[in-house]
Amino acid sequence: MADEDFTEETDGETLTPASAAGLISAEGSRARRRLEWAGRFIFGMWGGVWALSAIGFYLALPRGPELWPRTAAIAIVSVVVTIAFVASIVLGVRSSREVHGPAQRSGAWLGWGWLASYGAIAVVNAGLAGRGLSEDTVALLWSGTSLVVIGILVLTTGAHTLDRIGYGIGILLLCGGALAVLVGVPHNYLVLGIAGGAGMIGHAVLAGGRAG
Amino acid sequence: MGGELDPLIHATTRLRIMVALTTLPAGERVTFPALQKLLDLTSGNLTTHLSKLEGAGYVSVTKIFRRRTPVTYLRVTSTGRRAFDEYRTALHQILPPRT
Repeated sequence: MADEDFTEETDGETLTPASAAGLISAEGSRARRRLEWAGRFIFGMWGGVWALSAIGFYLALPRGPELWPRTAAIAIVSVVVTIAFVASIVLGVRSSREVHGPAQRSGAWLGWGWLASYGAIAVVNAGLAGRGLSEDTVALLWSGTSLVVIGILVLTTGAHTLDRIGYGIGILLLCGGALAVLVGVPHNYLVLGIAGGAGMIGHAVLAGGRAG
Repeated sequence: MGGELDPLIHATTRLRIMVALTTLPAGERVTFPALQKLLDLTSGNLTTHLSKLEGAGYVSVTKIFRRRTPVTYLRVTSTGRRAFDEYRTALHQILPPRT
C-alpha cells in the first residue's frame, strides 16, 4: 500500500507512515531519557561519592601516599555523603511527584533497602571491630563486605528485571569485594574505590545509553 | 486492524502522547504538568488531544487532591496499550522492509 494513502494532516504537520515510525523512535528515546534520568543520576552520583571516599582514604593512609591527614579525608567524605544523601531525597521526592505507580514504589523500596543493608553492615562491622580485630582486618572487612553487599544488590536487581548489564556489573562488584581482601591493606581502598565507583557509574551510564 | 492505521493515534500530537505514556511501565501514571513539560505542549492543546484519547478509552485521567491541591494523573489503559501495539504493527506492515 502506498505511503501517501495514510498521510494525515494534523496540527499543520503532515504525518506519513515513515515520519510516524521516526517519531515513535525519537520520542520514545526522549521520553525514556527524561522520565528515567533521576534514578540513573542518583545511582551515578553515589558511584562518584563511593570512588571519592575510598580513594580519598587511600591517599590519606600512612602506608599509602599520605597526601593529606586522615581527619581531612573523614571531613570531606562526611560533607560529600551528606550532600549526596540530601540530593537523593530531594530528587526522589520530586520524581515520585511527577511519575507514580508500582515501578516508582519498587524503586523507592530498593533505595531504602540499600540504606538498611549498609546500616546492618555498619553495625556488624563495628561490632566485630569492637571485639579486638586488628586495624588491618577491620579495613579489609569494610572493603570486602561493602563491595559484596553492593554486588548482591545490583546482581539481584538485574536478575529480577532481566537486565544483563546490571547482572554482569553485580558479578564484577562481587569479584571486586574478593579482590579487595586478597590485595590487602592499603591497596584494598584503591580496589574499593575503583571497583565500586566504576561499577555504579558504569551501570548508570550504560542504562542511560540503552534508554536512547 | 488489517494494515489500517488507527486515525485516533495517527496524528502527530496524539502519537507523541501515546509514545510518552506507553514508555511508562504498565500501571505507572504521570502528572499533567510533567507530561506537558515533556512534550512541550500548551495546556489547551494537550487537554484537547487527551480528551479524544480518553473518549476512545486509550487514556485514563484521574483527578485527586494532594494536600488540598488538585493533581491530574494520566496513564495509558490496557485498551490504549493494545491499540498502540496494533498501530505499530500496522505501520511496519505498510512501510517497506529496511534494506
